[in-house]
Amino acid sequence: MAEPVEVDLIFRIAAIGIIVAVLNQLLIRSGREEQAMMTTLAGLIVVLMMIIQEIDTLFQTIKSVFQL
Amino acid sequence: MSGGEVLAAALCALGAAVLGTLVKRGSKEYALLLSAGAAVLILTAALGGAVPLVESLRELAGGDSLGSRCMEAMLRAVGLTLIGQLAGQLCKDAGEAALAYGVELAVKVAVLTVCLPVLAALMETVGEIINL
Repeated sequence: MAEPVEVDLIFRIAAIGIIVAVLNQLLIRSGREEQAMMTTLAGLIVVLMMIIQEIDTLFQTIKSVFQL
Repeated sequence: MSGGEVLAAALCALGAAVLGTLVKRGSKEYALLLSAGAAVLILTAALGGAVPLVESLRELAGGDSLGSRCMEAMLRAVGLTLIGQLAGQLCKDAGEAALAYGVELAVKVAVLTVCLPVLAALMETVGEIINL
């Protein structure tokens, strides 16, 4: 049967986005552009890893439902 | 899909849209990832609800007949199109129309490849009827 929509993931991604944006601004203001860039990159990779699991679930579901 | 699930999906999409506009000020890539995550979640939930529908469609098409093969090809095409549409629309959201076009072309080729044997079987059947 249908599983409930996991809204947690959306909130987590939004929270990470906001935190990273704030950190980015702070680091840029204190003159550490390289570290700001690294922070953005690390946050992006973390979020990407979170989403990739969900994409894998979706593709497996599509494969099993439509017998691809 | 029941009414509550549709409502949940709608609220999920709306919340993601609002949060996306909030995050977009900081960095655009997070808004894109947010919309991608929300779309994937909603699609997964919708597909979970579509399982009994697809099963009953398969039963309606019957056993080992031409209709059954047609239905099988159609369902495969639907699955391929789902993946392609999701990827293509996300690429378009990111402003990469060329990537979206590439994905859609690949999906069209795959759907044609899936449907060609069915078309051949249909032609064969039509030929048999004409020869009678």
